[in-house]
Amino acid sequence: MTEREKLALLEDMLELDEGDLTVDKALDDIDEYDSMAKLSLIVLMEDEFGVKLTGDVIKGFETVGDIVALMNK
Amino acid sequence: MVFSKYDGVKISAIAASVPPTVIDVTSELDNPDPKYIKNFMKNTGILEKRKSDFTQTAADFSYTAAKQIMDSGYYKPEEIGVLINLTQTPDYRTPSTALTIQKRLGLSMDCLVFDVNLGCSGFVYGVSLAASILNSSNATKALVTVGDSLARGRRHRKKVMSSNTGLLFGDASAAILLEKSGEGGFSSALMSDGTRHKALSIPYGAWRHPEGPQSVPGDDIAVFNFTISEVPKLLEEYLAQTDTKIEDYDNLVLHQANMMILKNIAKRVGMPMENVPVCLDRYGNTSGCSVPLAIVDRYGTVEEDREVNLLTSSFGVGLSWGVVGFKINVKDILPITDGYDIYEDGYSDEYDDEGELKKTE
Repeated sequence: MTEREKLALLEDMLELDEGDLTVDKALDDIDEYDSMAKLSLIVLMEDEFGVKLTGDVIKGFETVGDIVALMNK
Repeated sequence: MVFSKYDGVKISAIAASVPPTVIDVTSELDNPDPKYIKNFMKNTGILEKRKSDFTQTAADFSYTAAKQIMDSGYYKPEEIGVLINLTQTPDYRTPSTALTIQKRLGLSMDCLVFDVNLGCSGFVYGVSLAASILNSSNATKALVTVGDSLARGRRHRKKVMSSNTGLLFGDASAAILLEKSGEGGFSSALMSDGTRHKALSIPYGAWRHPEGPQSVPGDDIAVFNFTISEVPKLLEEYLAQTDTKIEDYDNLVLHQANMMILKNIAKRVGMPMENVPVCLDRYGNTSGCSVPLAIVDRYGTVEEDREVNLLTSSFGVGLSWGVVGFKINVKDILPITDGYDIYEDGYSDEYDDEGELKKTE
């Protein structure tokens, strides 16, 4: 999966337009990345990549790239 | 897991009662941001809920549901040998609210009556406890009542909930009648994890911390992860233990936590969503009552004489979770009723302008 495809998955999850996200974008600057989105992210990561996210891991995310780095496929 | 089999005991009737007042959840949001509202509705699936006013408590709706079963001819008061009430929102610190329900229903003294402090997992624990007691005693019929009034909150607190978590909850109670049937039976699988007791907690207002906020924020992510991993796992273990398959069941009835959780558990155990009753869109998360409420919502108005095989799972505060599979005739699932009963207990309720209980001499 290319980096763009991974970003597209996140854009789809957050209901953003294609191209809205870049790896260096700060998560704090994305209004849609709220508590509900974090639950959706848990499901996405487990279903698509078999990665289980804990609360501590999610708290450690600063940029979109931090999430993409765990998308190991 | 603790697996139990209750031979010769059946669940013979289910009823549920809700407050008459319908609340549109958007009218209660602390955060009026339209995007938040849209996401809340999309992710939780909750559009409306029922909320009781301060004249009624969960016990009133429990009483209404239990009386509905009695008035429908399923039991006489003197036949009930066990009454268990599961709630986090009791009428009193003591005695158990179940005792007032016993009095109101006119049950005899030859009856084992107590409360259990459990929340969302209340249904599976309640029917398992009642069936266990029936199996080991001379009692022949048992009533389980389960319900909370978390949407209402407590009157003398101005702020009901500390966050929008409170928005999820709807008020409702259910009653379940169990009896010795001499044939058939059902099974349960129960689990608990006290190491995660802080994930969902109301730590203030009891004996260790008498003063403090009415609620503290829960660990949403920990609870979500627990639910989508532990619940499907226990469901699979239950199926293996009972040598059944998910296809053997007409419905998978899950605690109505939120839509995202329902869809995830259903997907993980392979049950199509059309076989997963959903009532949280109109009633919210109704805590321990949500499984029986979803059953009553699905079948309560269906006039058929046929048996359905239900696989149910409740999970939540504790952490505490379980699975119960049972068969019941559709005609024994009664329609949802609006509850108007109020228990006039004779104690006074006087409050000042701040909403604090007035000091009395």
